[in-house]
Amino acid sequence: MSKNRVFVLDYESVTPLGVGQEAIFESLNSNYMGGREVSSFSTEGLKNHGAAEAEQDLSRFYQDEPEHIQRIIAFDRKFELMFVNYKIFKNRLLEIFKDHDPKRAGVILGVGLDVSPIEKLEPYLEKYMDNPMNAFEKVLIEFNSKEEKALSVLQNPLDLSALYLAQELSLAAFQKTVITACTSSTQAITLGYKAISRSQADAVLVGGTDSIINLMAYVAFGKLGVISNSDKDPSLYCRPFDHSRDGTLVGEASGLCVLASEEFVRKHNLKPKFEILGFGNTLDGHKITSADPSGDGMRRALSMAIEMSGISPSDLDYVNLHGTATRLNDELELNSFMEVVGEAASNITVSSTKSRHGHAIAAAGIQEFNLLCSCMENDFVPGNMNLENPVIESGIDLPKANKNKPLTVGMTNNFAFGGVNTSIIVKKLSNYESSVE
Amino acid sequence: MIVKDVFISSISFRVPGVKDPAELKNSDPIFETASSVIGANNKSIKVGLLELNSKSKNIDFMPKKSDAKIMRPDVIASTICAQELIQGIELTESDWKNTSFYMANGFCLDRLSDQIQEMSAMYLKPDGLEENMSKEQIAIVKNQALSRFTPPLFVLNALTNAAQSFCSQYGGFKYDNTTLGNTSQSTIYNLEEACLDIMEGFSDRVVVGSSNGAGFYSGFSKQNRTAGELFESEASAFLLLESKKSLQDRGAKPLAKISFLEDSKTIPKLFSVNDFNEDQKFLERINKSEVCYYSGVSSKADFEEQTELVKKFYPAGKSLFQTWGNFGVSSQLIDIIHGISDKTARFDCYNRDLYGRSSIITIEVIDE
Repeated sequence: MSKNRVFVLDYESVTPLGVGQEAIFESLNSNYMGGREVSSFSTEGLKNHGAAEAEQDLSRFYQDEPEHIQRIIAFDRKFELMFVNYKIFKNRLLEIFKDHDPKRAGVILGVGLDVSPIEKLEPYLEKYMDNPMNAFEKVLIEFNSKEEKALSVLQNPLDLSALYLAQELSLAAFQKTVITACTSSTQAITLGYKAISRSQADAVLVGGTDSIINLMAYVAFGKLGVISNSDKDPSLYCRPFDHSRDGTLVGEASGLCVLASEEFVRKHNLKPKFEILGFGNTLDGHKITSADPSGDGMRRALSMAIEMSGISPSDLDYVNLHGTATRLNDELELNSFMEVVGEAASNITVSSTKSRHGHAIAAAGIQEFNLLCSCMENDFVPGNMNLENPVIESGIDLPKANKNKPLTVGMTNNFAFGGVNTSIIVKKLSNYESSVE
Repeated sequence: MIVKDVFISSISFRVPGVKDPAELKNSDPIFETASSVIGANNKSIKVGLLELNSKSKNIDFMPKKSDAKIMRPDVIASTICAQELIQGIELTESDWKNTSFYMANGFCLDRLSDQIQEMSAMYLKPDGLEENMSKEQIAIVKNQALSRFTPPLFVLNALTNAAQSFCSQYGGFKYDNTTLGNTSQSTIYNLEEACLDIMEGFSDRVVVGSSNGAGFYSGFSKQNRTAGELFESEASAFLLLESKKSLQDRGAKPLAKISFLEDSKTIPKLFSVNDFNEDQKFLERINKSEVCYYSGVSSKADFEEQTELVKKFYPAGKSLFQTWGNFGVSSQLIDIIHGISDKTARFDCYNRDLYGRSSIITIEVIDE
């Protein structure tokens, strides 16, 4: 593949750890735990009660927006999170995209599927209770029949956020929506990287948004057995790499990041913060219900990322692991990583931050990529919270507590339902000018 | 973009009632199942449904029962297509493992609507509710009813990358990959990615696949964007793209080659219905073939407008819209398969999605 350099110009997120990257880093530094009793609906009678919710009342960010935007937001948490993410990032984005060629700039977002939240629709469903089997359908028809704008209020298309941002920022080159579950927004970054490195675009806004914190999705994921059934406080649900781990903490998030070519950076006199060196992206081809226990797909993704980046494993300073705290995945990820990097493992620091912010599914990739960048900017390694009895005692640096360490090269991994494995390697540019040959 | 040395070496597809490319010429295929539901704004939504199970005729590659029970029909169709695609192609397991796989998926919930309705109904009106119950007691009864009626594997059934996962499992494609959703433009992006991968030597083989859902929920996500009755079909279609080197290595002859691919780079219009003016400008600046295959957007009115435009720019136009409606993410791939099966020497596939994003792919059929 031809290799134009790909730079990270800026990034911003809305997560359970805070609204905005500054607040998020502060939460990391102070070991704030996002796990709480779910506040957006009643969990009475369910096995699970906790989740990592982003701030519930975000209305201050859109109360002055047109009615149709507010109506969409009212029933679509994913769009709400992305909209707020855009609002807090807007001025910086407009500065980057102020005189760009629209046909050379695109947007790629990862999103998750959802049904309209039944708990929010309940008041409207009441009048159709004579035939509850049709109530949901009737409400969809009723709501959408009233809608005059050319957009459904319920059952919004998955492309909604990407199309909205394309309109707002004049991003005409492409508008892609990636739907590969937990790797969706990680792949949004890799596709953005490919587009710039092969000159399809000069700048790409990448990211994603997702929330499964609504009753139907929460119950469905609970039934799948991936959510911790712990009776403990929700902040203790997610215990990545601990012997006692029994599932993940449900989360939600939105994140955006601007990637750009060297030419774009120079032309607009911008100062990039990071360079993406390469990525790995593979399929297990095993079973939809579980990752390949041999770890072959993961190892191929990790090796591909290292090889494409042109680094040696010992160059890796810190890796933000996928670490969901489910029984099989954590050990598989750790073992695969150690196998790929070999002896270099003992000097590489690794952690999962999902114990703090939960698993944001399709937005996990961008949430953790932005968090990696933030940590690297601050030479800060977030410790593995809730880790008491590690599955691996030695051979790799799996710190329980936060620590400071110079971070130049970092990696982030995400692995998805259906056996998708995606890794990205990024390098901090402490002095961009001197890094240009 | 001028495409060089990207060859189509295998094709497979499923549309309602048809599995053989020759049958695409039939102007009156038999729908195995067709339903018509009334949607919002008094628009009807006419939907062609795939019917694929072990009792269906001529299905040689039905997935295992344990897998099929968590597969939507569009996912089953894709898994069958992926297996048909690689039949008779002499490549090693390692070759397939290093094959990239770009998938596009339409709306995933339509075939799950009965389950969703049932889950909703059980939550709204559960057994065991009593008049004097407290708010907490009511919540317990309702939540437990919802939990009871939620199938354990519902998440996997609704998974947006389920088709990709099963195709990889059954077809062995394990290299670079994605699933994009959910309009036909996704497939253009995937074809472009695949062509660049092959032209730049990133991959020697790429499978480009599509899995289109259609129905009530899909209709809602589109209803206000099209004029008149929505008409669409479930479908699945796959192409195997190969480099010259890959074909030479296995001594194989291609069916066709992709020679041109361009999209309009239109800023999508989310809050307004588009007109076709931008398409006109787009088509004016493209070098055109003699024959145009086109997909018809999603309604009869849009199809008629698109037909007028095709007449203006092309001596001949062909569309399957009148028979099956739109195939969503599978549209362009089915048009390509249609053109190849017609043995049209050189043809364009013109597509336009719901948000006014248009594209042209030029295919040159290679004579045996």
